[in-house]
Amino acid sequence: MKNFKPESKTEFKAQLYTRIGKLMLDNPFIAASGTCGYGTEYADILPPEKWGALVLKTVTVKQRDGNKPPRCCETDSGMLNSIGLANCGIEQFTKEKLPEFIKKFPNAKPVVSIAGETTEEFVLLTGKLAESKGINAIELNFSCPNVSKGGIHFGADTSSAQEAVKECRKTTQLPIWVKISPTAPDPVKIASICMESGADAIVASNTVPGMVIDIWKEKPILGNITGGLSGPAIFPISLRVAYLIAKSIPGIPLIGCGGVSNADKAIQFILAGCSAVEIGTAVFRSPNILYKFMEEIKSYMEKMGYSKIDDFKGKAL
Amino acid sequence: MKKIETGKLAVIKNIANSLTYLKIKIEGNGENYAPGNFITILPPASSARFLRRPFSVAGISDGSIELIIKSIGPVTESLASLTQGTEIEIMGPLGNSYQIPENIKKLWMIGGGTGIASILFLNSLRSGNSVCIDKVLWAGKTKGALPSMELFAPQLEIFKKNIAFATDDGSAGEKGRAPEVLLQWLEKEHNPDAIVSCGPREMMKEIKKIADKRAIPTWFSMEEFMACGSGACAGCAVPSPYGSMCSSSYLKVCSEGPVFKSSEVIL
Repeated sequence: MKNFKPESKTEFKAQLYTRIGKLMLDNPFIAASGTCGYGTEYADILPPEKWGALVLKTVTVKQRDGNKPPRCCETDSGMLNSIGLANCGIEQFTKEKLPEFIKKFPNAKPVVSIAGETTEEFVLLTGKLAESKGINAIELNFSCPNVSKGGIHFGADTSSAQEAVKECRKTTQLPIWVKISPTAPDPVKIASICMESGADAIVASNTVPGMVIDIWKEKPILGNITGGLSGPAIFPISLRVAYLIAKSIPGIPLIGCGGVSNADKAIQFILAGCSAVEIGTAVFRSPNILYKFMEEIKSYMEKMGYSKIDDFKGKAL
Repeated sequence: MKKIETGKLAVIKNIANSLTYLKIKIEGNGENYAPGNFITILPPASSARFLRRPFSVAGISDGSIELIIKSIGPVTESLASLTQGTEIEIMGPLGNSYQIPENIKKLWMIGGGTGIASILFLNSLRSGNSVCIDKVLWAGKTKGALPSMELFAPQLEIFKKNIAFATDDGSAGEKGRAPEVLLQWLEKEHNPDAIVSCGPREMMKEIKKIADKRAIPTWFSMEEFMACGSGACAGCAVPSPYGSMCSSSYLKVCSEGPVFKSSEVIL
């Protein structure tokens, strides 16, 4: 595979800017939470400001050590992880990690992912972030499959989702994105309730719970037994969730996420009504994959005669 | 500073049962690589695998990265079947490196299986220093798991004369597992100034016990499943008595390691 360099030989007329609610992004590609750390880890390979936005690693009220190793492994066409929201906690995040990132990369667009075990924790986190500068949006993680409290359990229950979004809305003026689970019993209902409660966009969706067993050791590979499946394997699942939401709630600001391994998949999400896509596992494979995505989507748009993302957004609905 | 680049496979040689030596020509001369560093390789398409795989650097010579890999799955098997001239996408250098204090003149380096890789790199740099009286132990289960020095030492610069072999069954080199051979060495000689080791977790655990008992400073190079190789995903956690700023009980092998002081990790 060749490396893709930022300099393109061809000048395309296609513009990649996109709008998610009131937030404008230079391009529709967003680094997904948990795959780009605190923003600086891949800076040698890809300047973080190249991304439309970066969703930093989910932060919780207190520091979390994460789950027992092994925490990740490859599966057919994907990977399983059970990191368990390991993070430095909101205090250190707002005092050190975030200011450090913003100072170093003032032109990057950080989005902060948060996870609480209760509504009160979500509100506390949102409140802390409301005092911080340089944040473009807050992503409520209602879909982590690897924690015993909060996470996926939050997103599965419409009343707790409703309450958390409502209370967070009261606490901040920042755009609120809600990242829902592909296993939510009724993703359309959750999306609709979150929007009614004051969310600015829905991210559809997150990893799919799964597991693998080592046949020689005769036990599960992951220390946490189960984990979240990501990568190409889950793309059709995530696309369906996004499509159902976009079809049922016309005009909803929507971000596709799950299994976007090339520009073709990103285009599919946009055709299904998404304004942008989050890219995760594909970044592990190729931290500089954004350059390839940009080239490929421009090439598609040129072939199809589209000058901007909005020209083909939702066309498959 | 790490980068992604496309290297070219300059040499590929089967050196023992399921052990392959690879030499990948990279841009520049590799002077930014230090013993302990690793690279990740984009899996060859034939492997049908997705995530990059980490490999310790076994040496740098002629502007090439040297690796010793063991065929254990689809990616390593397809790497082992590549032909000279094939392009390989690598990312590196990654991770920290061995920081051996200058007063360490007598260093014993113990590698189990492919755990020998980073040790060979460290050994080749130290071997030029005439005051060092180092020993290297390369342990394997049986003869077939180890390369023949007669065959490969003259051809491959990384194989120095101070390398001793050991096998569990005694079919090559000294008889015994690595910790047992270490004990034999300790009976015959004064303690070394320090030990470095890399290999199976159980082996390192026993070596830690032996070294701790005699207060010999020890460093371990660790291996763990990893996704990003850059400190972003926290997938490669290794238990630690005190952790780091972000975690009170784990360290990240890819970015806080792979080389750790013995006291930093719980094996």
